[in-house]
Amino acid sequence: MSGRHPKQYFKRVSRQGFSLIEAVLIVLMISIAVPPSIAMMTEASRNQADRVLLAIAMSYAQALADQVSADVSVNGLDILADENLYLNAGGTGLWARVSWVSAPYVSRNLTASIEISELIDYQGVVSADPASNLFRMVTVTIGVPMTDGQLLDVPVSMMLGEPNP
Amino acid sequence: MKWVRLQHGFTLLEALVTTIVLGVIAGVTLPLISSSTDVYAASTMASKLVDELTFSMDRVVKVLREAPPGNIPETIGVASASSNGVQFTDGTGCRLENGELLVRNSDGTEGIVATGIDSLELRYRASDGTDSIFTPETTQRFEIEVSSSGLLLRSVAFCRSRYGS
Repeated sequence: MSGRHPKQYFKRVSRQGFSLIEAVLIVLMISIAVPPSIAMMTEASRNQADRVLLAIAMSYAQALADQVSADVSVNGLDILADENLYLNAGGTGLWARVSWVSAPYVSRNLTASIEISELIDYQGVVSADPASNLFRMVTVTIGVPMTDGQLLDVPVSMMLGEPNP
Repeated sequence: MKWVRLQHGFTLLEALVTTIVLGVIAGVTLPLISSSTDVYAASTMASKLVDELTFSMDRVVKVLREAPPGNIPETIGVASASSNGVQFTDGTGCRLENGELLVRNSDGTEGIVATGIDSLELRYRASDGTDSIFTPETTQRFEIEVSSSGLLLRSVAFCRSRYGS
């Protein structure tokens, strides 16, 4: 006959719950684990916000670079000879002409600056032979306010030549 | 009769203290967790949106930059032009229809670059910067606006076939 003795069903089972100290320890462990998790998510959010601004900054830099190319194409390299005049002339300067394009970037606190080199040769240096100096290096720099408070400069350079030499 | 204590669970006092401690910790940490996950979700969405929008802008800029030359010198070949789309004589072009940004290849096929685009605005600019939408073949560069879900990008595309003219 196979079957348990009825007494086996009444075997004493020792069931013990958490003690207070165990419960407090669990709570403490949770409270230790949660802050780093929040910090990680916050950091990831910041990184993504920075990445968003950098992507937008590249779009802005490309827009300004194309505008400079278009100006040189129609007016020749001489238009860049006087940097201040080219950029800031009232009403006709580059900044005035790109104000519509710049508006959404300015509203995100992105800043832009353009630096124009003197005439250089194809190697990017000023040649002793003036006839070789047919190019100018134009550097568009976008200032990106990062979430850590730092300003990150994103420079984009291009070498422009005389369109009709 | 001797009583044997078989179960060692919480006492009422222990349970009360644990509940109070848990409640206090949850009250402090849950809003933090909630807000940080909200921020993380929002930044992830913004990041995805910017990726889609910058990609859309890049594709549109590429199409416009590569506008074919027109039959007459110092022109581009435009088959049809409007403020939210353009088609060039080589079959390429781009347009917005029902929130879909479509880019047309030279073989006449169209591909969806992005969906959920709110607006595409093309501004046609002649060499002197004046509006050339009514004489689109004289366009030297385009100013572009693409927007989606409140995010707006603007850019400039200089038609390379107009270089030097």
